[in-house]
Amino acid sequence: MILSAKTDILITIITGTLLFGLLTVFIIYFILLYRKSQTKLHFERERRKRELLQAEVEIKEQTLVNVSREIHDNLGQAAALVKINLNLISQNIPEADREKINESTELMKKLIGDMRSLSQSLNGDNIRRKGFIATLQSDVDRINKTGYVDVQFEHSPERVSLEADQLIILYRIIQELFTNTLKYAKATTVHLSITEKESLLTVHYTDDGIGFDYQAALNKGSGLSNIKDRCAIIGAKLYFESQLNEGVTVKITLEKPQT
Amino acid sequence: MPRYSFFLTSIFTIVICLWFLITGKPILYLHLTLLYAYSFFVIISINRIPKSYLNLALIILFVSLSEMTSYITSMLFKTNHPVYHFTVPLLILGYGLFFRSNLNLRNRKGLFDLLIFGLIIASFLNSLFIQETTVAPSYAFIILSFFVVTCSLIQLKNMIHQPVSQRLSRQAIFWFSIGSLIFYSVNFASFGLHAVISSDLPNIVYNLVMWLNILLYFVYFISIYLSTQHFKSK
Repeated sequence: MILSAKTDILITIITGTLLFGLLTVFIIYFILLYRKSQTKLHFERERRKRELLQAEVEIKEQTLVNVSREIHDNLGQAAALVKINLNLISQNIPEADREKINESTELMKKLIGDMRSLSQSLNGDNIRRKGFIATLQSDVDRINKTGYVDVQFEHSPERVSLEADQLIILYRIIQELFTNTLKYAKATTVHLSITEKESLLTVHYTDDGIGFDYQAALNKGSGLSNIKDRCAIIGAKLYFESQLNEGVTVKITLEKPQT
Repeated sequence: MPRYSFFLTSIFTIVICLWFLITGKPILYLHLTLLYAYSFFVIISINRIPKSYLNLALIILFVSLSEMTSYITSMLFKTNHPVYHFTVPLLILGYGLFFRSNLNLRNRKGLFDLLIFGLIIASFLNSLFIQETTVAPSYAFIILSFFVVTCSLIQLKNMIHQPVSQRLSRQAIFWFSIGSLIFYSVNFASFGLHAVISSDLPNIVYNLVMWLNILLYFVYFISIYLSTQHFKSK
């Protein structure tokens, strides 16, 4: 009877140990498996988010192309007709009034020129045709012409060898930076440089404006979050540095695909 | 209020466990004390408990009552087995309703209801025709444990297939499933299979199950607390 009781306890202990061992292994296995599915879920969400952002950017890009065409084809056409009419009118009026008509013709010429360059900057296809650096140079020239700010543009490569879609997005990012500087920064000088070292493309942008609180601006959902999202789409790394009254420094690095 | 009372109850649990260990008082009293502490917590936070966890709250309240009845019965009649003949079918119902609202059964709810009903009937039939009320309802324990273990495993499988970004330790369902899986696996082997093979269960098994009982309801308490937090954040 005593032996039987001892055997019973022994069997209980062995069975219990086996059971607990099995349960422990199962729980550890479950936790590892769950973490794996969580990682998968995380990647899946990131992928979907990128796809969504990509679609959003494509829609925006298409809208800009449409606006650009509208400016070029309709407004540009109308402005050109007005200019021709002004020229015709100027031949049939007295000398004294001709001065004002000529002035209007000159203004119309400037308007047509501005509309053309605006249309070009809105249309991403120009980057494909003219090239990334040349398009940026046109923008820089246009901003410099306004006299609000002095943009210094330096670039080591003449051509940036990235996918066209990537270049359009990078171009929009730089445009957003210009817009922010012109709208809010009260800067006098902007420095933009594009360098290429081995397979790393670096865009360095600084202004001497009033700066801002980065986190607060990001939470506000300004153009800054656009820049961040666009960088995520092309796989670029974004470094932002800004403090009140100390300007802004932005660095964007992008690993070029190996050919 | 729940956060505050959760920490208070947790500290109370640890302190009282240590006190019982040091003084060597019967674990049954510890189990009863903690059950009533958790019941109190459940009652004061009942408005914050989401609908799908109300059944778990009811299980805690019901077990508190049944354990007290079992204690009184054993004092009066020297056996508490009749109580378990009523407790097990009600537990099957409680767990069944809990899993019904958490297992993502979609269009198989009718089938699941039928299963719960079948298991309750089987448990009653066992009490009426196979194991008298003066004998421990070990077959009913087997049914209950097998049911809970299987459903917990399905619940864990569902978790892997539909993960959420929240940390595992912050998920009420994880604590519930793991706690149930451990306790009812041991229960299945001890009060179920072992009791069928040999009617004399070694004391070590009783003690082990009692400690696991304490652990189980502590885990359920955590689970209910987390469910109130999740409910709040929603």
